[in-house]
Amino acid sequence: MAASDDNLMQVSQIGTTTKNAAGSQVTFNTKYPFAKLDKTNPVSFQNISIQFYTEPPAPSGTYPDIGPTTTLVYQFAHGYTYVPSTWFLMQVTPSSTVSYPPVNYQQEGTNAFFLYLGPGTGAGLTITTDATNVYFYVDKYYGGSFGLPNIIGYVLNIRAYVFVDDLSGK
Amino acid sequence: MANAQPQTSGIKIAQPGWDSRTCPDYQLIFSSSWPSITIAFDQVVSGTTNSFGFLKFTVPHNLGFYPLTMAWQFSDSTQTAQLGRVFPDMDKTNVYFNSRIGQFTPNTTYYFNVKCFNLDISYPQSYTYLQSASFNTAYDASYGIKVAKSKKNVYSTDLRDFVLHSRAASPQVLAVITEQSLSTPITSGNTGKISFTNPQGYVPWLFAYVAFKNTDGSTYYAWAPPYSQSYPAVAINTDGKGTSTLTIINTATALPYGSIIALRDPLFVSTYQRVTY
Repeated sequence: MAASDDNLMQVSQIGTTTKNAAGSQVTFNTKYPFAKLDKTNPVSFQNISIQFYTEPPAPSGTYPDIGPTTTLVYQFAHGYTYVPSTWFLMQVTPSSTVSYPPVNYQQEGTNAFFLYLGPGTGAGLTITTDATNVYFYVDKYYGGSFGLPNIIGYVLNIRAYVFVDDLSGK
Repeated sequence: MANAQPQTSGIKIAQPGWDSRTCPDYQLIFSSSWPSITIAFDQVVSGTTNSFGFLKFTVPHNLGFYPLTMAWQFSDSTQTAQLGRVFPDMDKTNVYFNSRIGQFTPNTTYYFNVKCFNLDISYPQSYTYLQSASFNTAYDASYGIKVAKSKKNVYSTDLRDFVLHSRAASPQVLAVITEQSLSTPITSGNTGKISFTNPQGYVPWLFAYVAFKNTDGSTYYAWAPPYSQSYPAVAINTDGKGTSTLTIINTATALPYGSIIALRDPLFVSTYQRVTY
């Protein structure tokens, strides 16, 4: 097929003419590129399970050392030469030693707390992406109260999409 | 709710050796009736915080409907790294960036890529749950469909140059549940709950929004996170097959409209990575 014009093809839902279709009534239009996950790139669609056998460091809890203390816990190469768009969905299997995990599910794995012991004390996951890798960081906060934010035994289950599509807006 | 019927017309391409009229979904390379996520607006934008660290700026998308909208925050002006995804407010015309999406340093310019998808979150829809493959088949470069973007070469090896390419797959829409699923409208001062029961055996991609009144009286939607202690928030069932609920309130500023948008994974098998730290 030759390079498309913006409105080369459109398919609309049943009962809606292609001429009048708009928004969700348009099931396919060459004007709107698909959000693309490359089926041949093994990291484009992953389920990643990070289990903690080692304790990432925490701040001392003495002001001003109250966090975040950031530790890189995992990274992978995404295979592109540019910054791709990404989606992450994190679920947490908390340690059985923590009796009250207030958050055991997060939609998004960026700045996402998975352990909250009290104000200023907990642990979160931050995921960043550059033109080479995707990085997973644990951020720990400790203000001297509520106990140390220990995460040994925690399992973070992360569904990851790394799209072909970049963030250049072009 | 409108049920999107299986299309009897459109484009359907099966893998080699399969009849596109009768084969299961996972043996199709492409079907135009799949409710795939497509990008209707895509732009890099920026805004500068005030002396208190408040961020507020507007980006016109001019799509004429309430699009599912996501943005990625860049680390700095070089745009050589992104810090993750945020969910700005939106209405039929604009995307609204404000301090609800994060914490910011005063007098600093922040850069984002914003994408609006061709999915109207105010338009209720329910789609057939397509069966996934249990194994991946090898990609056959000599077979399939590809549509290049305008002024791009159809022989390009860069998938970004394509509107559609059968080497790629997209997340798909399962359902858009709105306040229209309620038997009676939410009257002033009251609340209502809309829900979605997941047919998948895993926790779904699920996004929720509620509506508020703009200063000019028009309606805009704000993302309802799954972890907020306050309004708006969505309670997502975590065992995979349960029911998730979104509470909607009707007050002077909170309008009695809301949406749960459930997506499903693309029709190819994920890889699994076990990491120990």
